[in-house]
This record gives sequence, structure tokens and C-alpha cells, in this order.
Amino acid sequence: MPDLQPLLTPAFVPGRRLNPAIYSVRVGFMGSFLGGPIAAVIIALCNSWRLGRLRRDWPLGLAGVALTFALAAAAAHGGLPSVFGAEGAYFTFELAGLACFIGVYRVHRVYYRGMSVLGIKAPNGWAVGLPAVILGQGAIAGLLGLLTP
Amino acid sequence: MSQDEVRISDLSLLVCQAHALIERRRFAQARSVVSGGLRDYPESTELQYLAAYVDYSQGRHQDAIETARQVLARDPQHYGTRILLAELHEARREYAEAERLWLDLLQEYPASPDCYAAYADLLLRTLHLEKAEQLVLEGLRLDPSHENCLYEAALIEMIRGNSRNNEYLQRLVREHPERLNTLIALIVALEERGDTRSALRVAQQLLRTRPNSEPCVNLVRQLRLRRHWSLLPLYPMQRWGWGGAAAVTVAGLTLVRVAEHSLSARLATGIVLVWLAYVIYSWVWPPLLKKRI
Repeated sequence: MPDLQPLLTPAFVPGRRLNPAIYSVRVGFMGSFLGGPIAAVIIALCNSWRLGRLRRDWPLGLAGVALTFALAAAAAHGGLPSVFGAEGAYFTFELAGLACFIGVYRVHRVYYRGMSVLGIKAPNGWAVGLPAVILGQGAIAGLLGLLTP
Repeated sequence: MSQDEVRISDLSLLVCQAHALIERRRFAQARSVVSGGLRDYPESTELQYLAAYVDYSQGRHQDAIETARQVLARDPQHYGTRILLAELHEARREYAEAERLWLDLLQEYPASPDCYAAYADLLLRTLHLEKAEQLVLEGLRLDPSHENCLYEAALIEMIRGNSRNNEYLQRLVREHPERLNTLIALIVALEERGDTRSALRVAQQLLRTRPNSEPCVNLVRQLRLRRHWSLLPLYPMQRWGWGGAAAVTVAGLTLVRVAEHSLSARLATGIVLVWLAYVIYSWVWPPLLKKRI
């Protein structure tokens, strides 16, 4: 007979009534698109915290910050494609945000699919999505201002 | 026949009658039978348990919890009441309390696949997928054709993205073709594969057998909505979900940006207006249609 002890170890903390669902794909998608990579990783790390896997997922935060910094440095030194026009830098951040979201989606895919298959309702995303977009846009503007010669 | 024997036989009849009414989901009648029975047999834990069950089924969770606790105060080992109390805690999102009850039951009944499946269901619905999977596999080791374990395992396979070669779903359909769980799992799998037409057909069949079931009505409504002709332009989103939405967004925005800077002003304005109309339609029309259907 197999050892049942790991199966009999509690997974929940008594008295904690947290909604275990994570913020919806819509919140991640829109937040990442509007707020760039920083917003994408803020929303992703909030989801990781809700899932209790922040220790595993924290490198996502580093990746988002590094990507934002690299894109800001490239934009400040004219290294982004000119086909998108004068506001091309912001568009590049939007695309990078979506790319980050795709990466995050792959990490949290089973949870998103679990919510979809089981019909689990996501929590209201405004409280996380809006500050994430503001912080993301603020970081982009700040970095572009700092790095532009 | 002595008077005590008559009383016990009457009580058994009442319990049977209440069970039959609950099985047919006639909760109002079951309530009146149980209440009448409790006036004559206030000490009956079985009738109290059924009263709690009827309260739970009718959404009176607080009343159900109080009655279930009274039953457990008299008979702490009452199996049905312990399961009911765990489900009540789960419904109230008191997950730790529900888990404690399931763990106690598992320690007392380590060979019960029912307990493994029920605890796995709690974990699955709170997104603890890995542990849920281990529990279900243990349940299936004890009983390879256990319906609830197969159902949970089939759901886990679907969540892991394996809707096509879902071995557990195949076994569920083969071994329990007539069960509600099987039909639900089948509908979910067909929908996940993008075969909404077949999913709708199965859901409509399910609705025919349960015409008063609100979840079944909602399911059919939701599937009919997905197959509506006016949603055809949203096919990439319907078929590939948010992956499709991301691809359409990136393609549309890139086209708009390139058009603004590389094409004539008139053509660029046309492209921008078409794109804006599509975006507005994709956000506004599906909720409006949902209300209509």
C-alpha cells in the first residue's frame, strides 16, 4: 500500500477565506497590452501569490523588469523599428506586454484552463489591473525620460 | 407486533419516503414529510440528517449547518452528515474546515474511493491540481471503475490540455454511459475541442431528461450562443480563445500602425474605422446577444 501521508497533509490554512481563483485572462491580456511588460508581471505575480507559488514564479518579475529596461534603452538610442512612426516606442512596449502575457499564460496555463473547464468565477480584476497599468506606463515613461540623451 | 416495532417501522417508512422525494428533487414535499416525522420522532438522527440535506438543497446553508451539527453532537460518526457538513463548508468557501472533515473521513475510511474523489473535487475546484490528481489516482487504484474518480480524472486530463486522447473520459463513457457526470464531462471535452455543435447536441439531450434543471438550461443557452451566426467574425476568439484574441489584436494593431505611416490618408482612415468597428462589435455584441438568447 502506498504512503498516504502526503495526501493527508492539509492544503488550506484554517480561518483563511480567500477566493482561490486567479484574475481572469481578460485582465491579464488587457493589463499587459495597456501597461506593457511591468503590468504583465505585476498581474502574473498577484496570480502566483493567490496560487501560493510565488517562490517558484518570482523570476517572472525579474524578466519583466529586464525586458522593459532593455526596450527603453533601445528606444532611447533609436534602436526600434521606424515603420510604426513617432510613437513606435509605446507600440513596441504594447507588443512586448502581449509577448510577456503569452509567456505568463504558458506558466499559469493549467490554472486558467482549470477555471475555464470547471466554470470557476474569477475575482474582480480592476483592483489589480488598473494599478498595474498605471505602474507599467509610469515605469516606461520614467525609463524613457531617464535614458534618452 | 409490539408498539415499539410499529414505531420503528413507521420511522423507516418515513425515511424511505423522504429519500424517494429527495431523489426526485421534490424538496418541498420532502421537507413536509421530514418535519412531520420529526414531530413524532424528535430523536431520529436520520430524519434530522434529511432535514439538513433538504435545507442544503434549497440553499438554506446556515440552517443546514446548525442541524448537521446537532446530528453530529448526538452521533459524531454519522457518515452522511459529515459529508454534508464538508459540502456545506465548501459551499461557504470555508475550505480549511471542509478539508479537515475530508481528511478525518479519509483517515477513518482509507479504502473509500468516494472520499478520495470528494476531497479531490474540493482541491480541484480550488486549483490544487497536483494533489487532486494524486488523490484521484489513489481512488482509481482502489476501484478502477469508480465513477466519481473517473470523472475527476477526466476533468484533470482536460485541464492539462488532453481533450482528444482522454483515457479516463473514454473509460467513463464505456463504464458509466448513462450517468450525469459522463454527459457533463463529454460536453466539456467537446467544447474544449471546439466541437460546439456536438456539445450542444449532447447538452440538449441532457436537458430533455432534466427539463427543470437551471444549470442544464444555462448550458444549452451558452452553447447556442457560441453557435450563433452573428458571432462568425469572432471565430478566432471562439476557436482558440485568448490565443486567437491576442493574434487578432496584434495583427489589427500592426496593420493600423503600418497603414497610418505607409498608406494614403484616405485608405488609412478606412482601415482604422473598420478596425474600431470590429473592436466595438467584439466587445458589445456578445453580451447583448446573451441577453436576447
